[in-house]
Order: sequence, then C-alpha cells, then structure tokens
Amino acid sequence: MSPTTQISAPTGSGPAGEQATLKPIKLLKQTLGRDRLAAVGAMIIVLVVILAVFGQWLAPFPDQGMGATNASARNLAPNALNWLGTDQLGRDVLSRIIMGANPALTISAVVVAAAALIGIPLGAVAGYRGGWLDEALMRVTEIFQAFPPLLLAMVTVAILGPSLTNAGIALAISWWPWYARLVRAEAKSLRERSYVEAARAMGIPQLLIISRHVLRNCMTPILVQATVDIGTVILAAGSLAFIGLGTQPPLPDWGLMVAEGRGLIFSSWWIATFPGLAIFLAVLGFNLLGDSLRDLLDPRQVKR
Amino acid sequence: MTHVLSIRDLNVEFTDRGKLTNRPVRGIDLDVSAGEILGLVGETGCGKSLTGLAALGILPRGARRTGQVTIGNDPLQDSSEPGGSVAIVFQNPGTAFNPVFTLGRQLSDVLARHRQISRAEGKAEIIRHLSLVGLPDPERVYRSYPHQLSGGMLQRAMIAMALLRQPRLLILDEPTTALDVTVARQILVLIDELRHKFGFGVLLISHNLGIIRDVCDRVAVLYAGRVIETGPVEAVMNNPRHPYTRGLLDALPAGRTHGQRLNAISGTVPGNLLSLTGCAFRNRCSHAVTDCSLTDPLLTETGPHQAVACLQEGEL
Repeated sequence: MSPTTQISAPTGSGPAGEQATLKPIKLLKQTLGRDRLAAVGAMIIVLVVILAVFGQWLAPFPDQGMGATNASARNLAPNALNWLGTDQLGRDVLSRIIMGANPALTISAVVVAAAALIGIPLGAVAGYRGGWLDEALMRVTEIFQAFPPLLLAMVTVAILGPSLTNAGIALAISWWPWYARLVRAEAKSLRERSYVEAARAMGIPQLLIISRHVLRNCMTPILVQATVDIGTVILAAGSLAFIGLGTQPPLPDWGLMVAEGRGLIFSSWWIATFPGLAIFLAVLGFNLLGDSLRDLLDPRQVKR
Repeated sequence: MTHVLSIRDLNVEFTDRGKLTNRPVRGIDLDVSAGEILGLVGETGCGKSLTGLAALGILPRGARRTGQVTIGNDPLQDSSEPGGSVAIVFQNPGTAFNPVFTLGRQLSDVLARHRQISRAEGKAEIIRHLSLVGLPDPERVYRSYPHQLSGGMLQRAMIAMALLRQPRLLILDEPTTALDVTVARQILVLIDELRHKFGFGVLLISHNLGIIRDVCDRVAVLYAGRVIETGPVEAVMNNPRHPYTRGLLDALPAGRTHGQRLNAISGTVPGNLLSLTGCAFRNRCSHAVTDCSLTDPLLTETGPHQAVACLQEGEL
C-alpha cells in the first residue's frame, strides 16, 4: 500500500481517525517520514530507551552511576575521562545521567499505565451510562483535579514516605482523573453513533459494547495523551526528587542530581546543568512525538 | 392469523428530571401478522421511528414507554434490552457498522449473543446468512471492513445480521432512504422474498408512499403521534378517507405532466403535543370546522379493515 492512501482525507462514513488506528506501526513510520520534528522526537525517545535498557553496560563508570563515591576526583570540570565532569562526591555525571534513564522511564511508564488502567474503564462506564453514575464519578475526578497535580503528589508522598515507588503511586493518584475525563468525553459522543445504537438493537450486552465499540474507538486520543504524559511524568517525578520526595540518594535520578548540583551552580555548573538538559530533552522528545501523532491520527484538530 | 407484533395504547413520553416535557407518540394501536408487511408512513417528527424503537424495547435516553407491546406471545419487559425475537435495520448502512472491525467480527458478536455455537460453525452460519441475502463472495464480505463495501452491500449485511437473531418481527427504519433507487429496489425485493421464506412479520417505516404502495400489505398513516388512517394498501391509496392522507398522496409526482407544480401540505407538524386539544391536523386542514378544535377524533371503521380518525369523514 502506498504511503498516501492511509492518510488521505476521510470520505463518507467515520472520521479517518477511526480507520487510521488500524495500522499503528505503519502510521508511525509515515509520521516519521513526513514530519521532521516527530523524527527528532522519536530519535530522542529511542536514545532514552536504549540508555534505560543498556545503561549499566554503556556507562563508563557503572558503580559511580549507582552511587559509589570517588573522593579524589571531586567537582572536576568536563574532561577526556569524565566527559560531563564529576559531582561533589567525585562521581561521573555522564554515568549517573545514563543510569538515571532507567528509573525515569520506568516510573513514567508505570504511572501512565496505572493512570490509564484506572481512568479508562471509569471514564468509559461514566460516559456510556450517563446519569447518576456519571455525575458521581465526575465529581470524584473533580475533587482530584481541584488540587494541582504536583501538590497532590507531594501530600501523598509526605503521607507514604519518600521513595521512588511512593512517588509513582502519588503521581498515578493525581493522574488518572485526566484519563477518566478524556475517555468519558469520547464515550459520550461515541454512544450516539449509529453503530452503537445498532449493536444495542441487536442485543449486544452493554459491557461488550463498551469494550468493543467505545474503548476501541477512543484509542487514538488515549495514545496521544499517553505519549505526551510519559514526558510530563518524567518532569513531575524529577520535580518530586528535586524537593527530596522521590528517589533518595545515592541512587541516580535526574531531578535529584539537579538538586544536588544546585548549590554549586556558579562554581561547578555541569553538575546541575547536564541532568537538567537530560530531563528537558526527554520531555521534548515525547511532546514532539505526541503532537505529531495527534496531527496525524486526528485530522479534525490539525491547526496548520 | 397470528400476530407477531401487537401494540395497544402505546405512548412514548420524554421527561426531564421527572417532569413530562413531550409525548410524541400518543396512544398507537398496531398489529403485524406473520409474513405480513405493515407500512408506517408519515412526515418527519410524527413518531414513526419512536414507535419502531418502542416495539424493539430500546428508546433514546429520557424517553419512557407506556402501553402494551407484545411480540409473538411475550409481552415486552420494561428494560433497555431489546426483545428476543425482534430485529431492526437502520436507515444509514454506512454508519451502522463499527468502522474498525470486520463485518465477520461484528456479525459473530450478534450470533454469539443469540446462540451457543462453536467458532467454526458460527463462521459457516454467518457466511450462509451472507449468501442468503444475495451477497456475492460472502467469504470476502466476512473479512471486509465496512468502508470496503458499498451502501447496498452493507444494507444486505445488516439484514443478514438481523436474520441471525431469527426474528419473528423485522423492523425496517427507512431501510432504503440512503441508497440509490436501483439498489433500493433490490433491497425491497430481497425483503419480500425473505419474509415469504422465513415467515416473519415486517414493520416498514418510511416517508416514501411509493415504497409503501409497492411492498406493503397494509399501511398505517401516522400524524402527530397517532394513527389517523389505516387499512389495506390498495384501499387507503385508492380511496383515502383522511385529508392528511389525501394531502400526502397529492404531493406525489406520479401522474403529473412536466412543469406542473406539486401540491404541498401547508404548515408543519406541531412540535409539542402536550397541550394539544382537538384534532392535531386541524390547522393545516382545509376541511376543518369548529368542532375539530374541541373534539379529538377517534379511529373509526369506514370499510373492511379500514379505519379513519376524522370528524368530517362522512362529509368528504
């Protein structure tokens, strides 16, 4: 099939977004070919994933990456041995950035997955059923959404105690309402489609209608949202670590490294700057890809 | 003759927070016998589709049904689940299937709901039904996505889907409106064949009197949520007794010479029927008298199986 046929304008029944999700991998390839920014985003993401998976073999000083100190080489500026310099405990900054990719990616993937797993079913049921159930569920999400997400996460971590796991739990708790509301809005419009009415008329049970016809057709916005959110959660987890409520030293974490280097920013700028750049690039990568996915999968929202 | 559908004093009411807001169907009586096609005809907004949905047992949100609906011998329960032996075919086949699944998958869902059957048997059964409705190469249709098929083919597949439920009553809600004339003709011929073959009754909802005349055995003319005239098709078409039926027939282009204007019925259907007194048609009726605004006419027999709801019936 030629690349242009899949993304051609919708004709007749159903928006193209619904048909476009049929071949996600093929679509991904097309997005990258057409859209330079998306390709940049994808390359960054691939790099982060490689670092996360193979970090301990790629890092020049894996033991320092995990926290081993080296008192003789403190606060060294970038040089031939330590490409990005060393921190105040003599640890190689590059190694710690590489080793920090794994926890950053793991926590964001787990948080987004958990938020989606909680939010999607609740939103689908609320949107499809409507009535008091919808009202009740939406008031609950509003209670969660009334707090700034980071504040809610901070409170949760303060109760549970600071650690990477608890930061993940806290972020998932403050993230799921967004998925619930997203899916609810989609479900509310999908339930009025003729094929849902037809399925109802043919005696298809409600749960099957929700899983088949509603959930399957709102995968597009969920996919876009999840892509962007992985980046956002990296930033949020980094923020929690920065204020001491996430990963605890001596484990590597980009947010924690920025916090550790903060006091030395004027004398040893590399300690805080490079992990900050790592966060920036990772978030940028996911945002670029997410935006391009939205443009491609949902032609109605294209702004260009 | 056994009735596969019998409706007595059917009302459909819309409520908003417990308050009655509209009653678009007001006391309809209908009977459909096995193997018979009853046409339900009327303008937009006269309650045709709601009557069909009410007979199926699924109504839009906020709507409520009162009155008796009996399918075969089983009274319809008050639930959102459709009755067991009724099936419906909707107006627009292009949107009646989910675009992301193959037809085979969607038909399997319906069959699985209706009968306990193995996967292989189910596929064979679906392919048998697809060829039953005259689809060439049913194997390919089984594997196809909706956008790969034409509207006529999709409507046939929709009918196959309805047949999988082994219905005693098939409701067709404007089944040919979205199709072009030749395809529409084929679909109607198919329906006619199938009802003889399987002996189910058909409730055919349409605003097209031409279709009604061609395929129906009996017809019920609806106006503002009421049956205002009913009877055998020939009798109603050749000798309409109600001014509204006459107006509808007058608006048909048949028998006119080129350039001649068609007669339209002036005015529109009243929107809210709650505060209505007297005959709902009186404001558009050229025969209306004072009594029409006071008395709501009842359906009264005027001939064999023919009945009309008009005070002036004898005068016309």
